[in-house]
Amino acid sequence: MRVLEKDKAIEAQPDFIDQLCELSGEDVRKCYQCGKCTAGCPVLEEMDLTPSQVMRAAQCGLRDLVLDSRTIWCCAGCQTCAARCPKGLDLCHVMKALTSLAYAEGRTKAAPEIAAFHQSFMDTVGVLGRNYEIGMVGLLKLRTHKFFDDIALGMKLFAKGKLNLFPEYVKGSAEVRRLIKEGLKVEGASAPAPSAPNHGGEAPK
Amino acid sequence: MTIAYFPGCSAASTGREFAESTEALCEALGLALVEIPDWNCCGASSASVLSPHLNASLNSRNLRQAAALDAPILAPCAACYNRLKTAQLELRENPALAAELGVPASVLAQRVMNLPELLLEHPGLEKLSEMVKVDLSYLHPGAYYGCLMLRPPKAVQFDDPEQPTSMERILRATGLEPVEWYARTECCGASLAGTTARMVEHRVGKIVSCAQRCEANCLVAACPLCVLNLESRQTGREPLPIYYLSEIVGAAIGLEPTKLGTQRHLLTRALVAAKQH
Repeated sequence: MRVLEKDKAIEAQPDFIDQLCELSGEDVRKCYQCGKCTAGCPVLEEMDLTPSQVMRAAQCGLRDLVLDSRTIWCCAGCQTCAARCPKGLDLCHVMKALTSLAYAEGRTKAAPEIAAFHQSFMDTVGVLGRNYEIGMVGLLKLRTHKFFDDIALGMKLFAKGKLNLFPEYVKGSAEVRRLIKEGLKVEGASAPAPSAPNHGGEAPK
Repeated sequence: MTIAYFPGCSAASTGREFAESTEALCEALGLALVEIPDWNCCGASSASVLSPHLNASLNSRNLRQAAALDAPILAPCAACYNRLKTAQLELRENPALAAELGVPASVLAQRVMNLPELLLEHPGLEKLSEMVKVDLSYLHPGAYYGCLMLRPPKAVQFDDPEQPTSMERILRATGLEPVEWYARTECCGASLAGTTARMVEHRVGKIVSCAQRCEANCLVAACPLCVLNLESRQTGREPLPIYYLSEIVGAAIGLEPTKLGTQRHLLTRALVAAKQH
């Protein structure tokens, strides 16, 4: 877990909460810090901020703190918090709104491998219209340089007839590509730094 | 009865035995599966992480493709099921977007079902128990629901999100006695297996050891990613076999295990020692 340093001033952006509410469709202001989301989160040990800390930081306008956190990428989307929140908030919507902003701004250094996974998945779907494991994993390995992870698993799957050598593709893949391109536009994201696709840098102005 | 069938990408790969057993089972139950023409990927875990708009836009095409079939939709994969239902909800709440994406209102009101939901109605528990030919009572499964079939309740509206019973009811009607256990709705770690394997091993270890403590001798699930993770990320000395609900029900009504794809499992070759009545 990350501890906030007392002598380090973090600039708050008061309008961030409005932007996040709009983008996520959830009224993040309603969170009253009961901590139920944190108590039930199955992937807590991978996180730097707890889910309830992300909510509080967002309410306080600490845009950089939440966008540069590992927590938002670690969310497995299991929806346990969403099912239990006494204020009826869907925290997965909030986490995903935050990752989409971070992704659009190229701020993925807290969890570059997870961002690379999602990017590789959508790249594959963008080309074929469907997922194709060998292609997707190939792209992921090029991005993460972890060439030998899970090779044994891949061989086992192949032996059981569960990895296709050749992809299935959708006739309307051009339309799928267009839908993805349009869907990827995220309002309120600053332009990413042109030189560093994975920068985790300064606060966007 | 005609069903619009959304196999999902895993049907051709990691979840092949789920698709094979679901298709064989539906045929035996007299349900005509018509594949949604030229369907595309639902976006799974990744689409909505990259943009909150991507789920509705990707699945608007799937819903449009399904509209012509004018039949209830079966999406056996829990992720596909969840994404289609979420897209329906998002587009119902935003009619302007639905119009912009050309999705007709009829398909937004169309029923989208997962496999347990389908079996509870077709054939239904009573008829299902009459169809059982093979005694599988030596299996004491833990019914594993995972996440996406149940949550978020607002979008999926299926069973109880914390205390579900549908799979246990189906297994009992099929002649098995499922065990009472406590990790039924715990997350397996999902797509993080691709990047953060240690975390998924930890999750899977918790789920499997809970089932074993409660004296389950196998798990029964209905999600291809859950089954892949549960099979491939077990590190314990005594691996727990994992089956799909469709394999168990299919085997119980007398379908050939090879037709159900049981030989494709990473942990177990086939449903062992099935006794004929």
